[in-house]
Formats: sequence, C-alpha cells, structure tokens
Amino acid sequence: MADRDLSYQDLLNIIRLVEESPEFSEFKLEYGDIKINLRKSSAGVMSAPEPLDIPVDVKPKVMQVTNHSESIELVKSSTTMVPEGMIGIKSPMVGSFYRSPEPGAPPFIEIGSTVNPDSTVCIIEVMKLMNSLPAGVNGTISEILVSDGDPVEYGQILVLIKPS
Amino acid sequence: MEKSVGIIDTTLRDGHQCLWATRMTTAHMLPIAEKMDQAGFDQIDLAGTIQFDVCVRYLKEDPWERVRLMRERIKNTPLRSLVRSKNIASFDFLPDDIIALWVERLVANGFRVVGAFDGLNDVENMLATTRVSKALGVHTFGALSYSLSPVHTDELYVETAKKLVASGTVDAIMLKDAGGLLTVDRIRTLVPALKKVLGKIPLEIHGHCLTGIAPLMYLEAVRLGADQLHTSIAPLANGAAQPSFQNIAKNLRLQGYKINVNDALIDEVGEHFRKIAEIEGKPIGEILEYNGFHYEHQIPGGMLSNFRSQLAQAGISDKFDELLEECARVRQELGYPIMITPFAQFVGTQAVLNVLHGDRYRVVPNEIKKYALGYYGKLLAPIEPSVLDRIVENGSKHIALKPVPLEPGVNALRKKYPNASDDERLLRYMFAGSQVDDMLAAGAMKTSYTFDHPITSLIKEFSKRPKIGRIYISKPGLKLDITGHN
Repeated sequence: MADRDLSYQDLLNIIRLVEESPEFSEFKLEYGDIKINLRKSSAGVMSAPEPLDIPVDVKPKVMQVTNHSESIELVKSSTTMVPEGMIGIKSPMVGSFYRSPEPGAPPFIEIGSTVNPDSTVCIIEVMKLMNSLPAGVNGTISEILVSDGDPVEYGQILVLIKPS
Repeated sequence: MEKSVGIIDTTLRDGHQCLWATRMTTAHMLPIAEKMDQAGFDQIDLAGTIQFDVCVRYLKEDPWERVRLMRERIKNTPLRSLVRSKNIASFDFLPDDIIALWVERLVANGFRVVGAFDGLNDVENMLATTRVSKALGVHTFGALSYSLSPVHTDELYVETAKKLVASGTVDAIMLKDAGGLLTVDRIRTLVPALKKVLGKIPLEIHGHCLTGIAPLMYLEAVRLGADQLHTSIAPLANGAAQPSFQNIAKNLRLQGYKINVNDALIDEVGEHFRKIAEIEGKPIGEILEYNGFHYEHQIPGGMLSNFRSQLAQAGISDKFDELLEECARVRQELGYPIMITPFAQFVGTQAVLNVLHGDRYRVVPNEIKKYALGYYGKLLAPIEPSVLDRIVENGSKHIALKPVPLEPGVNALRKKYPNASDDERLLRYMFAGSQVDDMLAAGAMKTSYTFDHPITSLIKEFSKRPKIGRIYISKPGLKLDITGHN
C-alpha cells in the first residue's frame, strides 16, 4: 500500500472524508513520514488534538550524489595538466564520452594503440549528435582519462597521446 | 448543404508528447479508450516513433502491447501511426526492408492509418513507408513539413504534394506545422494552392499552439477547403500542443460547419485526463499568447536550455545572443533545414561549436557531414560552397563522400535473434544495449488506473460501515486508527 506518495490533494481528500463521515469521531494515520491525528468535537467540528504533525517529504527524493564544487575542481585540474611531451585530446563541448562507435562494439583505441592524424580516438555525444574526435597526430595512446559513458565538460582532457 | 469537417484526435500521441514529455502511460489511456472510440473521430493518432522510444526507455512498457490493448478497445475508429523519414527513431537511415517490416508490424498490431513525414520534404524518404502501407491496404498519408525560410515557398509544398499524389501511394496529405509557425495570412495562399493539385485527396491540417495563432489558422484553413483538422482534447491541448477540440468545434459550428463528434463523451475524456494530470502532477495545456520572438530563430524550447548550459560551462554565458544569431547563420548556410528533430539538433550543435571555438566549422559532428553529403535525403538548397569544403575537410574522415546504399537488414536481424518475434527484433534493432531487456524485465505493464489513493479508498469503505466502532491497522510504514461515535 505504501507504493504511492500521499499528495497534497490526497491529504485534503482524506481530511474531507473524515470530516464528512457521520460515523468517525477520531482518526489517526501514520503513512511513511506523514502522521495525521484528527478528532471531531461534540458539535461535529474538527480540531487537531495534538499539534498537527505533517513532515511531508522531509527526506529529499533525490540525493545529490556529486559534490559539485569538487567535480568542478577535478575538471579544472584535468584540463590544465598535460604532461610534457604529450598531446591532450580535449572535449569540444559539454557532452557524453564514448569509446566505441556503438554499444558493444570494440573501442576505437586502447592504451598503447598507434594512431595517425585521422584515427578516431573517441566520440562526444551532444543532443544525440556524434562528434568523432581525431587524434590529430601520429603517436601512441598513453592514457584514457575518462570512462565510457561519462559526462564531460567543455575543454576537459580526455585522452593523452605520445607523439612519435 | 452543411459542410462537415473531420477531426483527427491527437491527444494520445502529440498531445502528451508536447505537454507531458510523452509520458502518458498505457494505464492512463485504457480506461477512457472506449469512450474515445465512440466519440466520432475520423482517426485517433496513437503513436509516432517517439512514443515507441519513451515506452521502451522510460516507461518500460512494451509499445506493441500498448497498441494491441488499445486496438481491442478502439474497434471503430482507425488508429493512426506516423513514421519519421527513413530513420524511425534514430538519426541515421535504416535499410528499406527494416522500414517495410516496421510498417508491416504497425498494421499487424492494429494500425489502420500509416503515413510518413520527412523534414526535408524528400518524397522518396516518405514513399519508403507509404508504398508498403498502401500495398497492405490501409489508409495512407504523406506529410508536407512546414517551415519558414526563403526556400519554404508555396511552390515547394505544391511540388511535394504533386509528387506524393503522383506516387499513387497516399490517400491524404497532411500539412504538418511542427514549429507552430503557420499564420492566417500564409494559410490563405497555401491552402488554395494545395487544394488545386490535390483534387479529391483530403487535406489535413496539423498545427501547434506555440504562438497562439493555430486556432484561428484552423478556422481559415477550413473556410478555404481543408478537410480534416488535428485537434487534442483539452486540457491536453493548447500550449505547445494542438488546438483543443472543444474550442475548434465550438467556433466551426458557430460558422455553420458540422462536426460529427459527441461533445458529452469529449467532456468525459477531458475530465479523465484532467484528473490524471492532477494526481500525477503533470501540466495541462495553457493558452499561450502571441510571441513574435518565436519567428526570429525557430529554435525548440528544449534546445535553448541546453544552449544556456553549454555557454555557462565554457564561461561565456554573455554570448547567448551571438549564439542565436549563429544559429540563423548556420541554418542559412546549411540550406535552411526545418528546425525540428534531427535538423534542429544539427543546426544548434554546430552553432554551439562555432561560438565555443571561434573558428567556424573547425569541429564538425558526424551527422552534419552526413547531412551535407546527402545521407539524409535531398537538401532543400545547396550548402554554401566554402562551408561545404570546411565540413568535408574537418568532419570525420571515416564518412564516405558518397552515401553507400544500405545493405538489407531483416535477414541478419532474424538470424541474430532467432527466437524473438519480429516485434521484439525491431525494438532490439532500434534500442541498443540492455534497453529492451530492461523493458522486458520490468514485467507486464499496468493496465488499470486507480484515481483514489489507496488510503482514500479504504476510508471511503470504512465510512460505509457504521456498525464498526473502531478500526486499527498497523504495518510497517502505515498505522491507521479510527474511532467511531458509539
């Protein structure tokens, strides 16, 4: 029964039903986080005998998992750190990072793969559009800094290539 | 003699697509399906490809099962389906035999009207659907996708309509204004021009209320000879959706037209969806005021918010106006594609990339290069040569300069999933990864809808039993204690 949240409208309906019923004199309901106590006075008028305690949705429905300031920090550090002698492939815009042309297909590159300037190293998906990012140089893949499917920021470094 | 105007209902397809982000469930529809069937509509539009997409990915409902359950209840009014170009739910084109199988399964599962639209008004892309639906003996239609640009002339629509009619595969022509751009003035030239070439083939008008003009545009279209109107049942009408049946019918009847739809049943359907909107916290269609800005850029609302976040992340939020201008410029350079999916995304994304990087067309998404090379059909106008050069040069080198004809896909698909039905195979073809498995794992969909909260139903029942003095129920998460007077 506890599979549906009580909405404001549901609560109003419940209170109205109790009020209109000639049979009920006292009504108590605890449902999840909600607790309602109602008692009709002798004249049939409702009063709340105890403070009406309705902590509706005290727990936020969605927990914010990522600490925003922290994730921005991480991005900043990763955008600025390209080690000496390496080329960094940057994300051209905010999007999702994909390592293979379609789900289940082999990835474009692995660490140690040799690439030429036209080799696709990854895809950044934005609004369902696929941006194939080329290596731009001859070289060897040295590091892949993002996991498949991860959201990436504008300018974030995705892959490090050691030019040959 | 009183002229009658036919009504094609869009509540179950475009109505909630525009107002509830396509999140109407089968359980929301089934209880009211019979009443809608009896209402007297010419057709009931039930599913384009977005409904399939949302069913599988978000609602975890088998969309084919939805169609069958609705078909059991909607016995008289033909159910209608719309196919997008040759790509159904993806951006890339699908082989013709996959499209054919898709149309066959639409018909087999209960659709009696199947047609297609193409954002570029490329007739060949629509014929992939209408040839099959015509051969299967169902009512078919082709669409004229309306947009506003120097190339979207009345002549373009007339030529497109002529080609569709000449194909012998369409029973009706749908004038489809997804962007809500049609004005009363434009309809005064467009409808007579179309009527001239359509002869006995009926003309349907499909508008959106984004600028508040559509209800007036409908009345004028009918006066000029339009035969069928697409309306939604309020409160799932107006806003970004179609004009409301209630408003259009009232005004047409006032002008002496006959509308063979039962208003009392419509009221019940409207009340049904109003209650669901209230319980589910979903919006109802607001009546929008005229907004001239809408005509400036034609960018869908959802994309504007994406733009803002793209610019904010790059630390250049002040460039928003520049981005809107860039959109207009990119659209012109790309030959004025219509600003709906997927073309709006093409234009918008390329504009964002151009503004972010300063250097225009330095980063080119794969789809832009394919579009430019004709992978998605014949372009409405040639791409500006210098831009085309940059797209070809900077886009992925792995995209062939000439579109390669697609290999048939059905045999391979059947081999890949030997034990699945064609319905399931098509879903697996379109929704990669575990999306179809996740949908199947969710089990049978809900087919009934309870308007009362379970607790409310319980209390109603108790109040009918005056002999009970006290009721006490306790279980984890629930404690209920009611004391009676005696």
